[in-house]
Amino acid sequence: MYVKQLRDAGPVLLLDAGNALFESTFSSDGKAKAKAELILRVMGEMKTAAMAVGARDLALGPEFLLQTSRKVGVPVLSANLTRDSKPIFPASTVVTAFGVKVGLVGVSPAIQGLDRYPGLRGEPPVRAALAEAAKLRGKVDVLIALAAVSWADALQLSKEGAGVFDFVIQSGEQRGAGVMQRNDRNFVLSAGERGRAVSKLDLDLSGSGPLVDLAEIERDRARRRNLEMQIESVKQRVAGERDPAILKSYQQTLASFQDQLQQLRQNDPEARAKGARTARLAIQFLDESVASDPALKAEVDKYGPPPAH
Amino acid sequence: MTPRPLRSSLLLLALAPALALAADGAGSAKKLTLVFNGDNGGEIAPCG
Repeated sequence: MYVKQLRDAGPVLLLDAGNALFESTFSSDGKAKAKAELILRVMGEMKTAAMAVGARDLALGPEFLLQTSRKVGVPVLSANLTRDSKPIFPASTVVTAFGVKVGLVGVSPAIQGLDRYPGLRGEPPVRAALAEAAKLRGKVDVLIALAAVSWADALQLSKEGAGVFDFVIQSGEQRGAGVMQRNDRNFVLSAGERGRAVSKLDLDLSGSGPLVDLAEIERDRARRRNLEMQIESVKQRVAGERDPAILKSYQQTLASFQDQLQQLRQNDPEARAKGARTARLAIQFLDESVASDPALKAEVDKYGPPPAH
Repeated sequence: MTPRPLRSSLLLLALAPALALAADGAGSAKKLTLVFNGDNGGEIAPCG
């Protein structure tokens, strides 16, 4: 219902960074299969634009994922999963949504081979993702890695992909939602865990140059206001103080605050935001405040209590 | 009904492409909201 409300309000593209379907890489009983099918079906009904293949999407093997996702219309991507050295899934897709061209590259973890699925390999993820991204860069407005890899690999991808990827959305370590880390020229975001929250990233790509995080601008602005107030307060104390030792201490504090303020002003975050492409992240926790779809809730309840309520 | 003066009709005609562009949103801000999650590990929230 939350996604529907957002779609009613404006242009929305729904994505999944992977590790969506199974509790573990070994969940392969009938109940786990039925639940995975339900999740994929609902993702299809919600018009998920793309999903990356994570280790916990492969519990029933790549063939199950390939066939079921095709049946329900969920594009599943992986730039580095191979079987007998041949790609299993498309590496990327380009979606034009509301006039914005979005490039999406799926990244899976390195897998040395699974006993149950011989021939299956996850090639080195960063190298494969960068090779795929190079084909798309310049042809899209924004380029995103759906990275079902470790946080360390996601950071490496962000670093090596500076100027290539705009966002690396990571899943696989249950970090929770809400982390948006700026690196040199792009951002790494944690995708969430156990269906407890949905991340919402508002993009305005009308400008040019590196993306600017509007929350970072607001934090800098608040810090600047705080410093200005502190400087004023210390100045008043200096004016009323006669003890030379205390006066010296105040003056040192004042000099430190003024130095910090000068650095903030030189950085001038608000000027950086002018004419730039911007992003703002918000998190919606899927608690009682968000209405459930009654028919879907009945289906989900068959599998036990939902994660957050 | 008084016919529209020719001059203002021509002006409207000249403006028409620009008005059409404004109406269908072309040339307007490139805005998009990405909604995403991951790592759901076989869980599904019916309110999502």
